[in-house]
Amino acid sequence: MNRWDTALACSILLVTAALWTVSPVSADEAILNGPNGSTSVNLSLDATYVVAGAVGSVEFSVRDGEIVCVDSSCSDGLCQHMGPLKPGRPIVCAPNGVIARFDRPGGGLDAVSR
Amino acid sequence: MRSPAERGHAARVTEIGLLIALACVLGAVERVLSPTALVPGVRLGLANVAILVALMRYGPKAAGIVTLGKLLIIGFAFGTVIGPIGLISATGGIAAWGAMSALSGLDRFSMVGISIAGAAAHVVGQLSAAAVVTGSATVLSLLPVLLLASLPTGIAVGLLSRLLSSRISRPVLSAAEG
Repeated sequence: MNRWDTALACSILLVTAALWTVSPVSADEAILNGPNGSTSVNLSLDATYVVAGAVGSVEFSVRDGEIVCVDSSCSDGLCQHMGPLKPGRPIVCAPNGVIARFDRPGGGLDAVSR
Repeated sequence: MRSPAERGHAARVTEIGLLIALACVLGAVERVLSPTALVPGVRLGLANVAILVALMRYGPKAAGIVTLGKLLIIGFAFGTVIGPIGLISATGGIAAWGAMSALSGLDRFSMVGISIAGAAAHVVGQLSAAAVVTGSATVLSLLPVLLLASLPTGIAVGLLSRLLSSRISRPVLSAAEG
């Protein structure tokens, strides 16, 4: 690596650090976004949620205060390997257009359905 | 009897074809192995080795051909050429190609630096496309994790590309020219 490479790597590190500071914080509620709207999920209650997606459905499970994707109709199944939802790391099923995320502090929703 | 210029062109076409094949094999292997990745969504980007070698040996146009060839062949093989996964892959691939081509033209960065830029641009391109596909900017909150991961993956791919580039010798193709 020459000095230009090092400068580029440092720039990426700086951008990463800056982006990390604006990541959303953890919360007691998660938001499930799908093509048909959004659902607010209470993480203190164990339950299973199925969200209709663009190419099928995505199933989420709430256990012990955590929400994980347990099943999806997408081809690569990446969302099922993402583990529990964490601040700054939403669970994304891009083919289905489904996202599980923590709500941003003070952020509002366009629609809530249950 | 072919002229030296024609033989050189044939050798170039042959090598670019081999690099497309290499990109497809590496891309397919990585796609199959991706669920076993330590961090979900993070891939080494092995196919970028072939694209980077094409860029350094023949320039941006050849690298663009390898990129497009890989995107189409992998897309058809896995049935994702049309659809959200195809769009996300294409956006990432084209962003990486654009960034690497731009930096290679500056003559300041080594293969490792160009590879890092390609890996970072790939992440930004893919997440931007994913944000469009899902209709939510929430996807972009994965950017810090994936951007950080692009540093070691970019360095690894850059070192592999340098190794491969040093091992590809002209005489291998000149045997077919004679």
